[in-house]
Amino acid sequence: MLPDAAGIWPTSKVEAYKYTDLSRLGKLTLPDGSLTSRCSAPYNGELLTLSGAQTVTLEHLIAPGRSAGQLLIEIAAQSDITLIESHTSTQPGLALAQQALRITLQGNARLTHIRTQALDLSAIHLSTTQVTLGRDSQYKQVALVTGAELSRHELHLNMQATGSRAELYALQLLRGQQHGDITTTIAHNQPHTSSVQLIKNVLDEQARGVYQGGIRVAPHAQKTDGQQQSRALLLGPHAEMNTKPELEIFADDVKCSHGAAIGALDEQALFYLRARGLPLAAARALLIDGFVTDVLDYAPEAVRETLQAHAHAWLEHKA
Amino acid sequence: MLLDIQNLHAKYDDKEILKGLTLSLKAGEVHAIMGPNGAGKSTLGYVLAGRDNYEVSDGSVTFAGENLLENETEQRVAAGLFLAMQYPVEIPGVSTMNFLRTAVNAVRKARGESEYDAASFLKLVRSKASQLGIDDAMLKRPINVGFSGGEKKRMETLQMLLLEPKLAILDETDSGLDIDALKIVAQGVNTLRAPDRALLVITHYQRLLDYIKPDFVHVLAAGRIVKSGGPELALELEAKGYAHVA
Repeated sequence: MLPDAAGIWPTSKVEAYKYTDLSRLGKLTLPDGSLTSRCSAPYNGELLTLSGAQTVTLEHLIAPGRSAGQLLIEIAAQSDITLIESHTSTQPGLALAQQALRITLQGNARLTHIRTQALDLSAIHLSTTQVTLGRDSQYKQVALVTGAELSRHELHLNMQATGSRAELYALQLLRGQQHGDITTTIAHNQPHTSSVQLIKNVLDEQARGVYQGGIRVAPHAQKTDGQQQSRALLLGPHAEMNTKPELEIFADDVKCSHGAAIGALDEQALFYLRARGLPLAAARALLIDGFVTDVLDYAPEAVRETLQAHAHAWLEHKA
Repeated sequence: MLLDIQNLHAKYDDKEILKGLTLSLKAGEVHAIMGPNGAGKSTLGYVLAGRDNYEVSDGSVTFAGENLLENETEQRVAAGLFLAMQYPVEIPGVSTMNFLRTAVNAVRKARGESEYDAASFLKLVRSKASQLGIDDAMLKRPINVGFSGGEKKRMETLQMLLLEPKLAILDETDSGLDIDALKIVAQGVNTLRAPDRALLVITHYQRLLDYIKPDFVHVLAAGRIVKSGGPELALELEAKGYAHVA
Protein backbone atom coordinates (compact mmCIF):
# COMPACT_ATOMS: atom_id res chain seq x y z
CA MET A 1 0.00 0.00 0.00
CA LEU A 2 1.05 3.53 -0.77
CA PRO A 3 2.13 5.95 0.55
CA ASP A 4 5.00 4.59 2.66
CA ALA A 5 5.07 4.58 6.46
CA ALA A 6 6.20 8.21 6.50
CA GLY A 7 3.23 9.16 4.32
CA ILE A 8 5.34 9.90 1.24
CA TRP A 9 4.12 9.08 -2.27
CA PRO A 10 6.76 8.14 -4.85
CA THR A 11 7.95 10.79 -7.32
CA SER A 12 9.29 10.11 -10.80
CA LYS A 13 12.79 10.03 -9.26
CA VAL A 14 11.97 6.58 -7.97
CA GLU A 15 12.84 4.30 -10.89
CA ALA A 16 9.70 2.15 -10.64
CA TYR A 17 7.59 5.32 -10.90
CA LYS A 18 9.69 7.02 -13.57
CA TYR A 19 6.72 7.71 -15.85
CA THR A 20 3.98 7.86 -13.24
CA ASP A 21 4.72 10.48 -10.63
CA LEU A 22 2.36 10.03 -7.69
CA SER A 23 3.67 12.83 -5.48
CA ARG A 24 0.66 15.04 -6.19
CA LEU A 25 -1.53 12.51 -4.40
CA GLY A 26 0.04 13.66 -1.14
CA LYS A 27 -1.79 16.96 -1.53
CA LEU A 28 -5.18 15.36 -1.91
CA THR A 29 -7.50 15.48 1.05
CA LEU A 30 -10.34 13.11 0.51
CA PRO A 31 -13.19 11.88 2.65
CA ASP A 32 -13.57 8.17 3.18
CA GLY A 33 -14.97 6.37 0.20
CA SER A 34 -15.77 2.75 -0.26
CA LEU A 35 -14.62 -0.21 -2.28
CA THR A 36 -17.12 -3.03 -2.29
CA SER A 37 -16.27 -6.37 -3.85
CA ARG A 38 -19.04 -8.67 -4.94
CA CYS A 39 -18.27 -12.20 -5.94
CA SER A 40 -20.52 -14.81 -7.54
CA ALA A 41 -18.83 -17.50 -5.43
CA PRO A 42 -19.14 -17.52 -1.64
CA TYR A 43 -16.10 -16.18 0.17
CA ASN A 44 -15.21 -15.61 3.70
CA GLY A 45 -13.94 -12.13 4.47
CA GLU A 46 -10.87 -11.72 2.35
CA LEU A 47 -10.24 -15.29 1.22
CA LEU A 48 -11.72 -16.93 -1.82
CA THR A 49 -10.99 -20.58 -2.61
CA LEU A 50 -11.93 -21.86 -6.02
CA SER A 51 -11.85 -25.41 -7.30
CA GLY A 52 -13.26 -27.56 -10.09
CA ALA A 53 -14.18 -26.07 -13.43
CA GLN A 54 -16.16 -22.87 -13.07
CA THR A 55 -16.57 -19.26 -14.09
CA VAL A 56 -16.63 -16.73 -11.28
CA THR A 57 -17.38 -13.02 -11.46
CA LEU A 58 -15.75 -10.52 -9.14
CA GLU A 59 -17.06 -6.96 -9.27
CA HIS A 60 -15.36 -4.07 -7.50
CA LEU A 61 -17.59 -1.06 -7.01
CA ILE A 62 -15.76 2.10 -6.13
CA ALA A 63 -17.49 5.09 -4.56
CA PRO A 64 -15.93 8.59 -4.44
CA GLY A 65 -13.45 9.24 -1.64
CA ARG A 66 -10.54 7.24 -0.45
CA SER A 67 -10.76 3.48 -0.24
CA ALA A 68 -8.73 0.30 -0.26
CA GLY A 69 -9.40 -3.38 -0.53
CA GLN A 70 -7.61 -6.66 -0.70
CA LEU A 71 -8.43 -10.22 -1.46
CA LEU A 72 -6.65 -13.56 -1.43
CA ILE A 73 -7.62 -16.12 -4.02
CA GLU A 74 -6.54 -19.74 -3.96
CA ILE A 75 -6.96 -21.82 -7.07
CA ALA A 76 -7.01 -25.47 -6.07
CA ALA A 77 -4.85 -28.11 -7.73
CA GLN A 78 -6.14 -29.50 -11.05
CA SER A 79 -8.90 -26.90 -11.31
CA ASP A 80 -9.80 -24.82 -14.34
CA ILE A 81 -11.19 -21.42 -13.37
CA THR A 82 -12.29 -18.39 -15.33
CA LEU A 83 -12.32 -15.25 -13.20
CA ILE A 84 -14.08 -12.23 -14.64
CA GLU A 85 -13.01 -9.20 -12.64
CA SER A 86 -14.40 -5.72 -13.22
CA HIS A 87 -13.76 -2.29 -11.74
CA THR A 88 -16.49 0.29 -12.02
CA SER A 89 -17.52 3.50 -10.27
CA THR A 90 -20.80 3.75 -8.42
CA GLN A 91 -21.05 7.42 -9.41
CA PRO A 92 -18.86 10.23 -10.77
CA GLY A 93 -16.58 12.06 -8.33
CA LEU A 94 -12.99 12.03 -7.24
CA ALA A 95 -11.98 8.65 -5.90
CA LEU A 96 -8.62 7.30 -4.86
CA ALA A 97 -8.85 3.54 -4.68
CA GLN A 98 -6.12 1.04 -3.95
CA GLN A 99 -6.60 -2.58 -4.42
CA ALA A 100 -4.56 -5.71 -4.03
CA LEU A 101 -5.28 -9.20 -5.24
CA ARG A 102 -3.06 -12.11 -4.25
CA ILE A 103 -3.58 -15.25 -6.24
CA THR A 104 -2.01 -18.64 -5.67
CA LEU A 105 -2.23 -21.38 -8.26
CA GLN A 106 -1.68 -24.89 -6.96
CA GLY A 107 -0.17 -27.66 -9.09
CA ASN A 108 -1.73 -28.12 -12.53
CA ALA A 109 -4.27 -25.38 -11.89
CA ARG A 110 -5.42 -23.15 -14.68
CA LEU A 111 -6.73 -19.63 -14.28
CA THR A 112 -8.06 -17.40 -17.03
CA HIS A 113 -8.35 -13.93 -15.57
CA ILE A 114 -10.39 -11.34 -17.46
CA ARG A 115 -9.87 -7.89 -16.06
CA THR A 116 -11.72 -4.74 -17.07
CA GLN A 117 -11.21 -1.29 -15.59
CA ALA A 118 -13.86 1.19 -16.71
CA LEU A 119 -13.87 3.65 -13.82
CA ASP A 120 -15.20 7.17 -13.96
CA LEU A 121 -12.77 9.54 -15.68
CA SER A 122 -12.07 11.43 -12.44
CA ALA A 123 -10.96 8.32 -10.53
CA ILE A 124 -7.45 7.39 -9.48
CA HIS A 125 -6.89 3.67 -9.36
CA LEU A 126 -3.79 1.93 -8.06
CA SER A 127 -3.99 -1.82 -8.17
CA THR A 128 -1.71 -4.76 -7.75
CA THR A 129 -2.17 -8.35 -8.78
CA GLN A 130 0.32 -10.81 -7.37
CA VAL A 131 0.28 -14.32 -8.73
CA THR A 132 2.27 -17.28 -7.48
CA LEU A 133 2.36 -20.16 -9.91
CA GLY A 134 2.71 -23.77 -8.78
CA ARG A 135 4.05 -26.68 -10.75
CA ASP A 136 2.66 -26.97 -14.32
CA SER A 137 0.08 -24.31 -13.58
CA GLN A 138 -1.13 -21.79 -16.16
CA TYR A 139 -2.17 -18.20 -15.64
CA LYS A 140 -3.62 -16.11 -18.43
CA GLN A 141 -4.81 -12.54 -18.09
CA VAL A 142 -6.70 -10.56 -20.73
CA ALA A 143 -7.12 -6.95 -19.62
CA LEU A 144 -9.05 -4.01 -21.03
CA VAL A 145 -8.49 -0.57 -19.52
CA THR A 146 -10.63 2.38 -20.59
CA GLY A 147 -11.31 4.22 -17.35
CA ALA A 148 -9.79 6.43 -14.65
CA GLU A 149 -7.92 9.69 -14.97
CA LEU A 150 -4.85 8.04 -13.52
CA SER A 151 -4.40 4.31 -13.22
CA ARG A 152 -1.57 1.98 -12.53
CA HIS A 153 -1.86 -1.75 -12.53
CA GLU A 154 1.08 -3.76 -11.31
CA LEU A 155 1.21 -7.41 -12.15
CA HIS A 156 3.81 -9.42 -10.28
CA LEU A 157 4.20 -13.02 -11.31
CA ASN A 158 6.25 -15.48 -9.36
CA MET A 159 7.00 -18.56 -11.41
CA GLN A 160 7.81 -20.68 -8.38
CA ALA A 161 7.72 -24.15 -9.89
CA THR A 162 8.80 -25.82 -13.11
CA GLY A 163 6.39 -26.15 -16.02
CA SER A 164 4.41 -23.04 -15.14
CA ARG A 165 3.28 -20.65 -17.83
CA ALA A 166 1.92 -17.11 -17.72
CA GLU A 167 0.35 -14.98 -20.42
CA LEU A 168 -0.69 -11.34 -20.30
CA TYR A 169 -2.67 -9.68 -23.07
CA ALA A 170 -3.53 -6.11 -22.17
CA LEU A 171 -5.23 -3.32 -24.07
CA GLN A 172 -5.45 0.29 -22.90
CA LEU A 173 -7.76 2.70 -24.72
CA LEU A 174 -7.17 6.19 -23.40
CA ARG A 175 -8.06 9.73 -24.39
CA GLY A 176 -8.27 13.24 -22.97
CA GLN A 177 -5.96 13.65 -19.98
CA GLN A 178 -5.98 9.97 -19.06
CA HIS A 179 -2.81 8.32 -17.85
CA GLY A 180 -2.64 4.52 -17.77
CA ASP A 181 0.33 2.57 -16.45
CA ILE A 182 0.87 -1.16 -16.73
CA THR A 183 3.91 -2.33 -14.82
CA THR A 184 4.84 -5.98 -14.70
CA THR A 185 7.53 -8.04 -13.09
CA ILE A 186 7.88 -11.66 -13.95
CA ALA A 187 10.24 -13.68 -11.84
CA HIS A 188 11.29 -16.90 -13.50
CA ASN A 189 12.58 -18.67 -10.41
CA GLN A 190 12.60 -22.26 -11.64
CA PRO A 191 13.68 -24.00 -14.86
CA HIS A 192 11.24 -24.68 -17.72
CA THR A 193 8.87 -21.78 -17.15
CA SER A 194 7.51 -19.49 -19.81
CA SER A 195 5.81 -16.12 -20.08
CA VAL A 196 4.26 -14.08 -22.89
CA GLN A 197 3.21 -10.44 -22.70
CA LEU A 198 1.43 -8.48 -25.41
CA ILE A 199 0.58 -4.92 -24.39
CA LYS A 200 -1.28 -2.61 -26.73
CA ASN A 201 -2.22 1.02 -26.23
CA VAL A 202 -4.49 3.20 -28.34
CA LEU A 203 -3.89 6.77 -27.21
CA ASP A 204 -5.87 9.74 -28.38
CA GLU A 205 -5.73 13.47 -27.60
CA GLN A 206 -3.26 14.03 -24.71
CA ALA A 207 -3.48 10.55 -23.23
CA ARG A 208 -0.35 8.86 -21.88
CA GLY A 209 0.33 5.18 -21.76
CA VAL A 210 3.08 3.53 -19.76
CA TYR A 211 4.36 -0.01 -19.95
CA GLN A 212 7.23 -1.16 -17.81
CA GLY A 213 7.90 -4.82 -18.40
CA GLY A 214 10.31 -6.54 -16.10
CA ILE A 215 11.57 -10.07 -16.61
CA ARG A 216 13.98 -11.62 -14.14
CA VAL A 217 15.49 -15.02 -14.77
CA ALA A 218 17.16 -16.60 -11.72
CA PRO A 219 20.62 -18.19 -12.17
CA HIS A 220 19.35 -21.78 -12.11
CA ALA A 221 16.14 -21.13 -14.11
CA GLN A 222 17.42 -22.68 -17.33
CA LYS A 223 15.12 -23.23 -20.35
CA THR A 224 13.13 -20.12 -19.48
CA ASP A 225 11.14 -18.62 -22.32
CA GLY A 226 10.13 -15.00 -21.74
CA GLN A 227 8.66 -12.79 -24.42
CA GLN A 228 7.21 -9.31 -24.35
CA GLN A 229 5.79 -7.06 -27.04
CA SER A 230 4.50 -3.53 -26.69
CA ARG A 231 2.61 -1.78 -29.48
CA ALA A 232 1.10 1.67 -29.27
CA LEU A 233 -1.03 3.57 -31.69
CA LEU A 234 -0.91 7.33 -31.22
CA LEU A 235 -4.03 8.90 -32.69
CA GLY A 236 -3.50 12.42 -31.36
CA PRO A 237 -0.42 14.59 -31.95
CA HIS A 238 -0.05 15.08 -28.19
CA ALA A 239 -0.57 11.49 -27.13
CA GLU A 240 2.45 9.83 -25.54
CA MET A 241 3.66 6.30 -24.87
CA ASN A 242 6.49 5.37 -22.54
CA THR A 243 7.81 1.84 -22.80
CA LYS A 244 10.56 0.43 -20.65
CA PRO A 245 11.59 -3.20 -20.98
CA GLU A 246 13.77 -4.44 -18.15
CA LEU A 247 15.37 -7.81 -18.62
CA GLU A 248 17.65 -9.23 -15.95
CA ILE A 249 18.88 -12.61 -17.02
CA PHE A 250 21.21 -14.59 -14.79
CA ALA A 251 20.88 -17.99 -16.53
CA ASP A 252 22.59 -18.80 -19.83
CA ASP A 253 20.26 -21.29 -21.52
CA VAL A 254 17.15 -19.14 -21.97
CA LYS A 255 15.07 -17.53 -24.70
CA CYS A 256 13.99 -13.98 -23.95
CA SER A 257 12.82 -11.35 -26.38
CA HIS A 258 11.24 -7.93 -26.26
CA GLY A 259 9.99 -5.50 -28.84
CA ALA A 260 8.31 -2.12 -28.87
CA ALA A 261 6.64 -0.13 -31.62
CA ILE A 262 5.02 3.26 -31.26
CA GLY A 263 3.43 5.11 -34.11
CA ALA A 264 0.54 6.37 -36.15
CA LEU A 265 -1.58 4.21 -38.45
CA ASP A 266 0.48 2.49 -41.10
CA GLU A 267 0.45 4.52 -44.32
CA GLN A 268 0.88 1.40 -46.47
CA ALA A 269 -2.08 -0.34 -44.86
CA LEU A 270 -4.24 2.78 -45.22
CA PHE A 271 -3.39 3.05 -48.90
CA TYR A 272 -4.09 -0.65 -49.39
CA LEU A 273 -7.57 -0.37 -47.89
CA ARG A 274 -8.37 2.82 -49.81
CA ALA A 275 -7.18 1.15 -53.02
CA ARG A 276 -9.92 -1.40 -52.34
CA GLY A 277 -12.54 1.33 -52.18
CA LEU A 278 -12.74 2.13 -48.46
CA PRO A 279 -13.10 5.85 -47.71
CA LEU A 280 -10.33 7.23 -45.47
CA ALA A 281 -12.45 7.30 -42.30
CA ALA A 282 -13.61 3.70 -42.83
CA ALA A 283 -10.06 2.56 -43.56
CA ARG A 284 -8.81 4.18 -40.35
CA ALA A 285 -11.62 2.65 -38.32
CA LEU A 286 -10.94 -0.81 -39.74
CA LEU A 287 -7.21 -0.57 -38.94
CA ILE A 288 -7.82 0.59 -35.38
CA ASP A 289 -10.41 -2.14 -34.96
CA GLY A 290 -7.89 -4.71 -36.17
CA PHE A 291 -5.23 -3.41 -33.78
CA VAL A 292 -7.66 -3.82 -30.88
CA THR A 293 -9.17 -7.15 -31.96
CA ASP A 294 -5.73 -8.68 -32.22
CA VAL A 295 -5.46 -8.50 -28.38
CA LEU A 296 -9.05 -9.27 -27.43
CA ASP A 297 -9.00 -12.41 -29.58
CA TYR A 298 -7.00 -13.98 -26.75
CA ALA A 299 -10.04 -13.82 -24.48
CA PRO A 300 -12.19 -16.95 -24.22
CA GLU A 301 -15.12 -16.97 -26.61
CA ALA A 302 -17.67 -16.54 -23.83
CA VAL A 303 -16.45 -13.03 -22.96
CA ARG A 304 -14.82 -11.98 -26.23
CA GLU A 305 -17.92 -10.31 -27.63
CA THR A 306 -18.53 -8.32 -24.48
CA LEU A 307 -14.95 -7.04 -24.48
CA GLN A 308 -15.16 -6.21 -28.16
CA ALA A 309 -18.45 -4.36 -27.70
CA HIS A 310 -16.84 -2.38 -24.87
CA ALA A 311 -13.86 -1.52 -27.09
CA HIS A 312 -16.10 -0.64 -30.03
CA ALA A 313 -18.14 1.70 -27.88
CA TRP A 314 -14.89 3.48 -27.02
CA LEU A 315 -13.82 3.63 -30.66
CA GLU A 316 -17.18 4.92 -31.83
CA HIS A 317 -17.08 7.69 -29.28
CA LYS A 318 -14.07 8.85 -31.29
CA ALA A 319 -16.10 9.13 -34.50
CA MET B 1 -10.53 5.91 -74.90
CA LEU B 2 -10.82 4.30 -71.45
CA LEU B 3 -7.48 5.53 -70.14
CA ASP B 4 -5.51 8.35 -71.70
CA ILE B 5 -2.18 9.33 -70.17
CA GLN B 6 -0.48 12.34 -71.72
CA ASN B 7 3.06 13.53 -70.96
CA LEU B 8 2.88 12.35 -67.33
CA HIS B 9 5.64 13.58 -65.02
CA ALA B 10 5.65 12.33 -61.42
CA LYS B 11 7.98 12.63 -58.45
CA TYR B 12 8.51 10.59 -55.35
CA ASP B 13 10.58 12.04 -52.54
CA ASP B 14 11.52 14.97 -54.81
CA LYS B 15 12.98 12.61 -57.38
CA GLU B 16 11.40 12.64 -60.82
CA ILE B 17 10.56 9.07 -61.82
CA LEU B 18 8.02 9.42 -64.63
CA LYS B 19 9.36 11.79 -67.26
CA GLY B 20 6.76 12.38 -69.93
CA LEU B 21 4.88 9.09 -70.14
CA THR B 22 2.18 8.84 -72.80
CA LEU B 23 -0.11 5.83 -73.15
CA SER B 24 -3.71 5.17 -74.24
CA LEU B 25 -5.95 2.15 -73.73
CA LYS B 26 -9.32 1.32 -75.19
CA ALA B 27 -11.93 -0.84 -73.49
CA GLY B 28 -11.52 -4.49 -74.41
CA GLU B 29 -7.74 -4.25 -74.77
CA VAL B 30 -4.93 -5.86 -72.82
CA HIS B 31 -1.72 -3.87 -72.61
CA ALA B 32 1.54 -5.01 -71.10
CA ILE B 33 4.19 -2.67 -69.78
CA MET B 34 7.63 -4.19 -69.50
CA GLY B 35 10.78 -2.60 -68.32
CA PRO B 36 13.94 -2.97 -66.29
CA ASN B 37 14.05 -2.39 -62.53
CA GLY B 38 13.84 1.28 -61.64
CA ALA B 39 12.14 2.28 -64.90
CA GLY B 40 9.09 3.56 -63.03
CA LYS B 41 6.71 0.61 -63.47
CA SER B 42 5.41 0.48 -59.90
CA THR B 43 5.37 4.29 -59.69
CA LEU B 44 2.98 4.35 -62.65
CA GLY B 45 0.62 1.99 -60.79
CA TYR B 46 0.78 4.08 -57.61
CA VAL B 47 0.27 7.39 -59.43
CA LEU B 48 -2.78 6.00 -61.23
CA ALA B 49 -4.18 4.67 -57.93
CA GLY B 50 -3.49 7.98 -56.18
CA ARG B 51 -1.02 7.04 -53.46
CA ASP B 52 0.09 9.85 -51.13
CA ASN B 53 3.60 11.18 -51.61
CA TYR B 54 3.57 10.55 -55.36
CA GLU B 55 3.36 14.00 -56.82
CA VAL B 56 2.28 14.66 -60.38
CA SER B 57 4.19 17.70 -61.69
CA ASP B 58 2.97 17.76 -65.28
CA GLY B 59 0.72 16.01 -67.79
CA SER B 60 -2.81 14.63 -67.61
CA VAL B 61 -4.65 11.37 -67.02
CA THR B 62 -8.21 10.89 -68.24
CA PHE B 63 -10.10 7.80 -67.10
CA ALA B 64 -13.55 7.02 -68.45
CA GLY B 65 -13.90 10.63 -69.52
CA GLU B 66 -12.93 12.15 -66.17
CA ASN B 67 -9.80 13.83 -64.86
CA LEU B 68 -8.46 10.93 -62.79
CA LEU B 69 -5.84 12.94 -60.90
CA GLU B 70 -8.45 15.11 -59.16
CA ASN B 71 -9.97 12.14 -57.35
CA GLU B 72 -9.06 10.41 -54.09
CA THR B 73 -7.88 6.80 -54.21
CA GLU B 74 -11.25 5.36 -53.16
CA GLN B 75 -13.11 7.51 -55.71
CA ARG B 76 -10.90 6.09 -58.44
CA VAL B 77 -11.81 2.58 -57.30
CA ALA B 78 -15.50 3.46 -57.41
CA ALA B 79 -14.96 4.84 -60.92
CA GLY B 80 -13.62 1.42 -61.93
CA LEU B 81 -9.86 1.44 -61.45
CA PHE B 82 -8.19 -1.42 -59.60
CA LEU B 83 -4.52 -1.86 -58.73
CA ALA B 84 -3.40 -5.39 -57.85
CA MET B 85 -0.29 -4.80 -55.79
CA GLN B 86 3.11 -6.35 -55.99
CA TYR B 87 3.33 -6.54 -52.21
CA PRO B 88 -0.14 -6.91 -50.68
CA VAL B 89 -0.13 -5.56 -47.12
CA GLU B 90 -0.64 -7.77 -44.05
CA ILE B 91 -3.23 -6.43 -41.61
CA PRO B 92 -3.51 -8.35 -38.31
CA GLY B 93 -6.84 -8.39 -36.48
CA VAL B 94 -9.04 -7.74 -39.52
CA SER B 95 -10.67 -10.83 -40.99
CA THR B 96 -10.42 -11.10 -44.76
CA MET B 97 -14.14 -11.76 -45.06
CA ASN B 98 -15.08 -8.66 -43.07
CA PHE B 99 -12.67 -6.59 -45.13
CA LEU B 100 -13.99 -7.90 -48.46
CA ARG B 101 -17.59 -7.14 -47.56
CA THR B 102 -16.72 -3.67 -46.25
CA ALA B 103 -14.79 -2.93 -49.44
CA VAL B 104 -17.35 -4.29 -51.88
CA ASN B 105 -20.22 -2.53 -50.13
CA ALA B 106 -18.30 0.76 -49.96
CA VAL B 107 -17.70 0.59 -53.70
CA ARG B 108 -21.26 -0.45 -54.48
CA LYS B 109 -22.57 2.40 -52.35
CA ALA B 110 -20.34 4.88 -54.18
CA ARG B 111 -21.60 3.50 -57.50
CA GLY B 112 -25.20 3.92 -56.38
CA GLU B 113 -25.80 0.17 -56.21
CA SER B 114 -27.45 -1.77 -53.39
CA GLU B 115 -25.23 -3.22 -50.64
CA TYR B 116 -24.95 -6.94 -49.95
CA ASP B 117 -26.19 -8.47 -46.71
CA ALA B 118 -23.94 -11.01 -44.99
CA ALA B 119 -25.64 -14.09 -46.42
CA SER B 120 -25.79 -13.04 -50.06
CA PHE B 121 -22.23 -11.73 -49.89
CA LEU B 122 -20.98 -15.02 -48.49
CA LYS B 123 -22.55 -16.83 -51.42
CA LEU B 124 -20.96 -14.46 -53.93
CA VAL B 125 -17.51 -14.70 -52.34
CA ARG B 126 -17.60 -18.48 -52.19
CA SER B 127 -18.46 -18.78 -55.87
CA LYS B 128 -15.59 -16.50 -56.90
CA ALA B 129 -13.15 -17.84 -54.29
CA SER B 130 -13.57 -21.48 -55.29
CA GLN B 131 -12.34 -20.86 -58.83
CA LEU B 132 -9.15 -19.41 -57.28
CA GLY B 133 -8.72 -22.27 -54.83
CA ILE B 134 -9.48 -20.06 -51.82
CA ASP B 135 -11.33 -21.87 -49.02
CA ASP B 136 -13.38 -20.59 -46.07
CA ALA B 137 -10.46 -21.03 -43.67
CA MET B 138 -8.40 -18.58 -45.70
CA LEU B 139 -11.25 -16.07 -45.74
CA LYS B 140 -11.50 -16.18 -41.95
CA ARG B 141 -7.83 -15.37 -41.44
CA PRO B 142 -6.62 -11.79 -40.96
CA ILE B 143 -5.85 -10.01 -44.24
CA ASN B 144 -2.76 -11.56 -45.84
CA VAL B 145 -1.25 -12.49 -42.45
CA GLY B 146 0.90 -15.56 -42.85
CA PHE B 147 -0.21 -16.03 -46.47
CA SER B 148 2.30 -17.43 -48.95
CA GLY B 149 3.22 -15.38 -52.02
CA GLY B 150 0.77 -17.42 -54.09
CA GLU B 151 -2.05 -17.04 -51.57
CA LYS B 152 -1.56 -13.28 -51.48
CA LYS B 153 -1.79 -12.98 -55.25
CA ARG B 154 -4.85 -15.21 -55.40
CA MET B 155 -6.46 -12.96 -52.79
CA GLU B 156 -5.60 -9.88 -54.88
CA THR B 157 -7.28 -11.57 -57.83
CA LEU B 158 -10.37 -12.35 -55.74
CA GLN B 159 -10.65 -8.70 -54.72
CA MET B 160 -10.36 -7.73 -58.36
CA LEU B 161 -13.14 -10.11 -59.40
CA LEU B 162 -15.38 -8.83 -56.60
CA LEU B 163 -14.86 -5.16 -57.39
CA GLU B 164 -15.47 -5.65 -61.14
CA PRO B 165 -13.18 -2.87 -62.39
CA LYS B 166 -13.24 -1.29 -65.83
CA LEU B 167 -9.46 -1.15 -65.74
CA ALA B 168 -7.33 -3.57 -63.75
CA ILE B 169 -3.66 -2.74 -63.31
CA LEU B 170 -1.60 -5.75 -62.34
CA ASP B 171 1.70 -4.71 -60.78
CA GLU B 172 4.22 -7.58 -61.01
CA THR B 173 1.47 -10.04 -60.21
CA ASP B 174 3.81 -12.86 -61.25
CA SER B 175 6.52 -12.06 -58.70
CA GLY B 176 6.81 -14.71 -56.01
CA LEU B 177 4.60 -17.21 -57.85
CA ASP B 178 5.43 -20.74 -58.89
CA ILE B 179 4.05 -21.96 -62.18
CA ASP B 180 0.92 -23.58 -60.71
CA ALA B 181 -0.05 -20.47 -58.76
CA LEU B 182 0.69 -18.36 -61.82
CA LYS B 183 -1.76 -20.43 -63.90
CA ILE B 184 -4.53 -20.12 -61.28
CA VAL B 185 -4.06 -16.36 -61.01
CA ALA B 186 -3.89 -15.92 -64.80
CA GLN B 187 -7.06 -17.96 -65.25
CA GLY B 188 -8.83 -15.77 -62.70
CA VAL B 189 -7.62 -12.61 -64.41
CA ASN B 190 -8.72 -13.90 -67.81
CA THR B 191 -12.30 -14.36 -66.60
CA LEU B 192 -12.35 -10.59 -66.25
CA ARG B 193 -11.56 -9.99 -69.93
CA ALA B 194 -14.57 -8.41 -71.58
CA PRO B 195 -15.32 -5.90 -74.35
CA ASP B 196 -16.04 -3.18 -71.77
CA ARG B 197 -12.92 -3.77 -69.66
CA ALA B 198 -9.19 -3.34 -70.06
CA LEU B 199 -6.11 -4.76 -68.40
CA LEU B 200 -2.75 -3.11 -67.85
CA VAL B 201 -0.22 -5.79 -66.99
CA ILE B 202 3.02 -4.47 -65.51
CA THR B 203 5.75 -7.07 -65.50
CA HIS B 204 9.48 -7.58 -65.62
CA TYR B 205 9.30 -10.97 -67.31
CA GLN B 206 7.61 -12.34 -70.40
CA ARG B 207 6.42 -15.48 -68.53
CA LEU B 208 3.12 -14.01 -67.28
CA LEU B 209 2.24 -12.95 -70.83
CA ASP B 210 2.15 -16.61 -71.92
CA TYR B 211 -0.98 -16.88 -69.79
CA ILE B 212 -2.45 -13.39 -70.04
CA LYS B 213 -2.03 -12.62 -73.72
CA PRO B 214 -1.61 -8.91 -74.44
CA ASP B 215 -2.77 -7.05 -77.54
CA PHE B 216 -0.06 -4.45 -77.09
CA VAL B 217 3.33 -4.41 -75.42
CA HIS B 218 5.14 -1.26 -74.30
CA VAL B 219 8.66 -0.81 -73.06
CA LEU B 220 9.05 1.58 -70.13
CA ALA B 221 12.57 2.87 -69.56
CA ALA B 222 13.76 5.84 -67.51
CA GLY B 223 10.21 7.07 -66.94
CA ARG B 224 8.92 7.02 -70.53
CA ILE B 225 7.45 4.59 -73.02
CA VAL B 226 10.32 4.11 -75.44
CA LYS B 227 8.86 1.48 -77.71
CA SER B 228 5.45 -0.05 -78.45
CA GLY B 229 4.44 -3.06 -80.48
CA GLY B 230 2.45 -6.26 -80.56
CA PRO B 231 2.95 -9.44 -78.48
CA GLU B 232 6.11 -10.23 -80.47
CA LEU B 233 7.87 -7.33 -78.72
CA ALA B 234 7.69 -9.22 -75.41
CA LEU B 235 9.43 -12.21 -76.98
CA GLU B 236 12.08 -9.96 -78.47
CA LEU B 237 12.72 -8.39 -75.05
CA GLU B 238 13.01 -11.81 -73.47
CA ALA B 239 15.49 -12.93 -76.12
CA LYS B 240 17.62 -9.80 -76.44
CA GLY B 241 17.18 -7.97 -73.12
CA TYR B 242 16.09 -4.42 -72.35
CA ALA B 243 19.42 -2.80 -73.16
CA HIS B 244 19.14 -3.89 -76.76
CA VAL B 245 15.55 -2.72 -77.28
CA ALA B 246 15.51 0.42 -75.15
